[in-house]
Amino acid sequence: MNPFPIQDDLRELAELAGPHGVDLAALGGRIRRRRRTRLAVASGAAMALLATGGWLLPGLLAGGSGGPVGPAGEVTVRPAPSGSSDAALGKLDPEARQVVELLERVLPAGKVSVLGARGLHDKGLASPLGSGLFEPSAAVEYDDGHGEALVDVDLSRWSNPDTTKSPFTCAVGQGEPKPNGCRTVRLPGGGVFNLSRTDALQGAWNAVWTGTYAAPDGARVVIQEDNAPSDKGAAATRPQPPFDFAQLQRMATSPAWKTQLAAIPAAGGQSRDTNTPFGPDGIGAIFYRLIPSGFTTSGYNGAFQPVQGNTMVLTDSRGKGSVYSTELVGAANTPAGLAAFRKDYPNAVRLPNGDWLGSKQVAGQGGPGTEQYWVAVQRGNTRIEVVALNSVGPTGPRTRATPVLTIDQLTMIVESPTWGSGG
Amino acid sequence: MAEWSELLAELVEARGTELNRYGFLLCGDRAEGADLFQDALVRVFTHPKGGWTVRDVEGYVRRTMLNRYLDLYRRRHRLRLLLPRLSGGGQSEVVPDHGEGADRRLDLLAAIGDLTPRQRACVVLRFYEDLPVAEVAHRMRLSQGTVKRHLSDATARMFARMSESRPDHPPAADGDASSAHASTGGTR
Repeated sequence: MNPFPIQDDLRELAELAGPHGVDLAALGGRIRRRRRTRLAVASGAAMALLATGGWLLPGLLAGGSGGPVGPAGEVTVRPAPSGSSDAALGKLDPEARQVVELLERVLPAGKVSVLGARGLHDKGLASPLGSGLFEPSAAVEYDDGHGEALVDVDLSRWSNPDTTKSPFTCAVGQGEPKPNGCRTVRLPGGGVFNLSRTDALQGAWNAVWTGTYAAPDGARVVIQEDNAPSDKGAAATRPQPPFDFAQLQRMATSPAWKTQLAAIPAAGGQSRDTNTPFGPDGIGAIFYRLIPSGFTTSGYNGAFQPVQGNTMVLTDSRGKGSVYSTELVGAANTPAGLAAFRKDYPNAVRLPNGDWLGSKQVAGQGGPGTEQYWVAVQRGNTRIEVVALNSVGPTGPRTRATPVLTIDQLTMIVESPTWGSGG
Repeated sequence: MAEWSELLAELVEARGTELNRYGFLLCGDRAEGADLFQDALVRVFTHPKGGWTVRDVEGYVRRTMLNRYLDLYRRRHRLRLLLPRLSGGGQSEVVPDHGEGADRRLDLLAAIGDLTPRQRACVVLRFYEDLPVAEVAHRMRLSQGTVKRHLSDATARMFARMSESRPDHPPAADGDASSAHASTGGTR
């Protein structure tokens, strides 16, 4: 019996939504009005079918309307290719293709169809463990003649692995689900290999086995295999995933990964320190780590908002002040996005590397003497913006003579490569 | 009648209820879910394209709803950060009892209400929309590993919450605790 039938429960729950209640006449009126307005304001803009990147923080802080002034549009995401291996490989960029080729090299003989891949410098969005950069991965459908199976690999580097946790041990932390099976072996040279096994439960989910090789230098290879060609919605094609412990260990510890792993910089590696004050918030953690030394920090907020932003209060001998950061990924490099950036930062300059950098000093909203420093960079389709105040919160009274970080310090933060290279 | 308005009517008639449910699951509130749905319709149909089918446009509406939900949540969160006086504001809508199973549904509503917006969106896409992780990752613009982490965290949290709410719920046998987690593909 499935003790926690999420899907069924969600469907039952959804029924509580009731009928849709759409008034077509009223809705049509709204659409026509909006179309007229849009035509009057702009023409030829990118399809605004998807969410507009709103910059409520800047709007509020600057005393503006708070309305969306950011770029509109859709993040360009490369769809996972499918089909024959050769055809799919051809659609991948060279770095992603390298990862697939390495996976194919370590796989035992069998038919391989590429499902997708991410190269060393492909930028994903930040995760709790890193900025989204330097996380090469590949997923394939593998068939050794006994049934198709999903196999995928992730490569990463952990800057400071916690050896009390998986994969170094089979300890299960509080609140963490217990796998059906787990085994860790110490390898010559100091690395470990761990297999964590979740077995199939008929009618609920397929088997998922995860092999992790953690090298002494923090490099990590994770290979995951299913007993089905997809991890969702596909019937099991075989009783168990294709590879046993020894095979997974051999694949994960293969020297074939060496070059890729070596190319993952330690500075861009994943941190075990997900316990920054922002919790599991990649962007918050990045921001936190970029704060110059000499401050004590408090007043953290914005956890679980890894895309949008975070705030905290910095304190030094001259007083305290709030800082904010936001990151918007998506379409910042469209004409509309650039226009919005230059509107927000009339003094914006184009840097030699093609980025745009802007800054401004504006009066605060907290009364006499309050002031705000703003710096933003537009890099590819990513816009990063940081703000420093000489007050706690945008409407608080002045708590120090000048904002807690200088324009130069803010500039160093936004220009940090740890934010990634954009989309 | 313009082509787009015919398509709009067709979409609402054929898929309105389902899309309304999707909005409700994302927002956890019927009024907000309905607003999300209708706002997405306005946004999508402001820029209609020739040759759209109901299926095409439903996909756009769903994507718009998802992105809009995440965006609105961020804005609201930001507003709460910046304007603390609003933080004690409105409570979630109380969902009326709909008979048998209402307790479980309310527990589930509370459980998914505990999730972060991204976790929640991942759960809805994965378990309600029944999408594979790769597609969830594509729609959420995240890596598959990140989606798996969100799903893993979300299901563990939901399981804990549901277990708390239902003390008579059968205790998890060895492996059952991982059951909700298992289909997320494990942790990375």
